[in-house]
Amino acid sequence: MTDTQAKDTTELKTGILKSLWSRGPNGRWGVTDMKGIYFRSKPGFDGNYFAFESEMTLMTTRPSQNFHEMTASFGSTDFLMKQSVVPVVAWNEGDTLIRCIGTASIISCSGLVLTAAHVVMDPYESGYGASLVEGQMKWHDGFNLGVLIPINPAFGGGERFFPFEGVTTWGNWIESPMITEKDKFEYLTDIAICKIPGMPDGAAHQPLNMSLNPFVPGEMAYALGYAKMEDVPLVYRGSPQHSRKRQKRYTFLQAKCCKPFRKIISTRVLRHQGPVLTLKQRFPVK
Amino acid sequence: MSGAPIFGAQGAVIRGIVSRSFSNECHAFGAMLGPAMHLELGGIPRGAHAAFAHDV
Repeated sequence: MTDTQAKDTTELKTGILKSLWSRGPNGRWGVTDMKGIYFRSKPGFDGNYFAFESEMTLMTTRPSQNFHEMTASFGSTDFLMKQSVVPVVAWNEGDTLIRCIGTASIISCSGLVLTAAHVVMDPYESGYGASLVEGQMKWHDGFNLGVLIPINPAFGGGERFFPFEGVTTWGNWIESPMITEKDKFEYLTDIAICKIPGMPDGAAHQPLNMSLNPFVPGEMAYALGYAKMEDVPLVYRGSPQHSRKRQKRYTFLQAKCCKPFRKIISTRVLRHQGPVLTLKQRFPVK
Repeated sequence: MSGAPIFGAQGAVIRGIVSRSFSNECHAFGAMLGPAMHLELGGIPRGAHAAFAHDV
């Protein structure tokens, strides 16, 4: 480690361990490299809630021979994190904006995604994309819900949309006695598992590592997500706006960068519709 | 921040998911992964109903 690197790692306290996954010759997924990625706060933020500076990072010196896996192995901090921490987006055909309704994490090479249950229930609860039909929720025709994963800017850039092919949440429907009020979904836990399509050419998604062990008192907790992410303008191919803007390959504009916050877990554990922890945090003043 | 991963072990692993965050109250809640592992992934969970028609 050089003096510069040693200085950086002592200054940068917030970071994550990022694994690089690829499909091996035997067809099985595997970790080919690991790297600690540290986040440096942009000017104007405090140390507990900040947008991070994006720095060029090389995940491995032995990149995969699969093109898509190779392009996911280097780039800015922002780009690498967006391979694993992704915005959940929703829109109806014909809309001019894509709603950014939450954050999700990739947790398997095949495309399993972890997010909050109330995020995927938002189209029903807010009434813009789903209805309850015979005890089960179904998307409206023309409704899209999924995540955005960026393409390496070195190879054209843009965003790929991966729709949710399947969603599982846990809880019970509570029938409303009032005609004017919709039935409510009472969550057993605010966790949802979703499935998105695989990457092109059999490449691996880049999942994050998970642990079933609980936090211990005093342990630091970091959350990384799309806080206050603005809706994304949607431009359709062939439209006057599309021609004017000269989009390269994809109809989506670049999403804003991830904004992590970092806090200390309190020793108090709350029970609220399933296992819940509470953590102190501060947000920047609006 | 809803749905964002909560990292533990100095950023090595995800331990939970942000459930609610309130910018005015400087507070957030999260759901832990461990206690949810007994829930069935495919099909109808025991004692509960899957919310969606198409499960993973």
